[in-house]
Amino acid sequence: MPGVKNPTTYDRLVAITHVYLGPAADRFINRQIENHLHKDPKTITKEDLRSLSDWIKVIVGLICDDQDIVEEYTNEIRKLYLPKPKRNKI
Amino acid sequence: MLMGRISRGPTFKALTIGVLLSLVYVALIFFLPDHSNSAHLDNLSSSQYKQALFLVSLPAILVWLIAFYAAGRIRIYAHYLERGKTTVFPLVSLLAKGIFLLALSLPIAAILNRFLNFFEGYSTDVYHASIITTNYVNLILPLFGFVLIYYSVRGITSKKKLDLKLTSAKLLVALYLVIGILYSYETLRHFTSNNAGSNVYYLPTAVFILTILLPYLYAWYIGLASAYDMLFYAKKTPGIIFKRSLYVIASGLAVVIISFIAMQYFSTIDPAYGHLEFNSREIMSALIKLISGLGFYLMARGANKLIRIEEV
Repeated sequence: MPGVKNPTTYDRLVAITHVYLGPAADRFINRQIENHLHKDPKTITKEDLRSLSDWIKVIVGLICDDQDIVEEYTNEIRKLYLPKPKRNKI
Repeated sequence: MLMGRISRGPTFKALTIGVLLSLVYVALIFFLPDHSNSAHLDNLSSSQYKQALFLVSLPAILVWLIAFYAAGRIRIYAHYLERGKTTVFPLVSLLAKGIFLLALSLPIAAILNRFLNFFEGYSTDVYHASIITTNYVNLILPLFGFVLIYYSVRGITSKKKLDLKLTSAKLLVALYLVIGILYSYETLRHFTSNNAGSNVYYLPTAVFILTILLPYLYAWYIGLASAYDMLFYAKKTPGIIFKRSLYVIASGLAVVIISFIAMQYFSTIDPAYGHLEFNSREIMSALIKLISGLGFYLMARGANKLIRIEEV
């Protein structure tokens, strides 16, 4: 994603996935969106990510035995749609 | 959860070729007249000798089948990349072809050895001609396999700046030089010996150097370079999960290439044509074959993991 001005939700999702699936990231994300959300991958919104992250958690669990990595990956996706925690003003 | 799986055709096809060649080999063991008689194994009748040869060959046959399976799995992974419209598809396909040629060379060499054993009982000229042919066939298939693997790995790694470490590159060159010098010394001393019967290759020195020694040295150079580049590429590639799978393939490729170099090294410095003997040479040869089987297994395992990523 470096160098992308105003990255879309799709760009952010692929960038996170790239850390885990490397060159297979965009193909993986496109398949998940097309098959589970039945949408054009580039058009996904933050609202779509909630159900997609559940699917991705199950599916990545099939290709990776390390549950810590699966949790870390899905937590990164959750950060895309969950509201950022407010900082306490001191 | 598995989406749009690609047919298992390439694996099935590769395994079928492996099974057919294995059957041909087993048939040759039992049905080809054996001219080595049992002199190499004391107190064994001809049929007992054949049974012993069959039993000793079983692990090797298993290695062949694993090798064909690995080639088929990499081919399937290439199909997934083709479907994903990636630019590396032709290169991974080339890698699968290279692995297939290495797999093919294993049973072909064993089958030719059986024929050599058969010809030994007939004319000396025919026997010598068959030894020369076998030596070239043993060279050519793995050489083409190594060349395909080299161009495939070079293509894959050229898409990414590797920034190779100079120290490890120097170590690789040093290893290559040691192997090359030792190999040249061990083979050429057969020609310098005063004993006329010591030329076990039945070729003039110049022809041997140009058509056997130099091609082997070239094959080993590109083989070692491919193994090194692939391991380095796998280490540097992004993707925690992807990298693990690719590293398994790269490790398998390195093990296969090194074991092939070892096999070719020992089979040319001390050729043994078609006889079964229980000595340290045979045990080492069997061990190297099993190590190559481990390499092919790692490649198949890594390919299966990458296929899984593309399937889900």
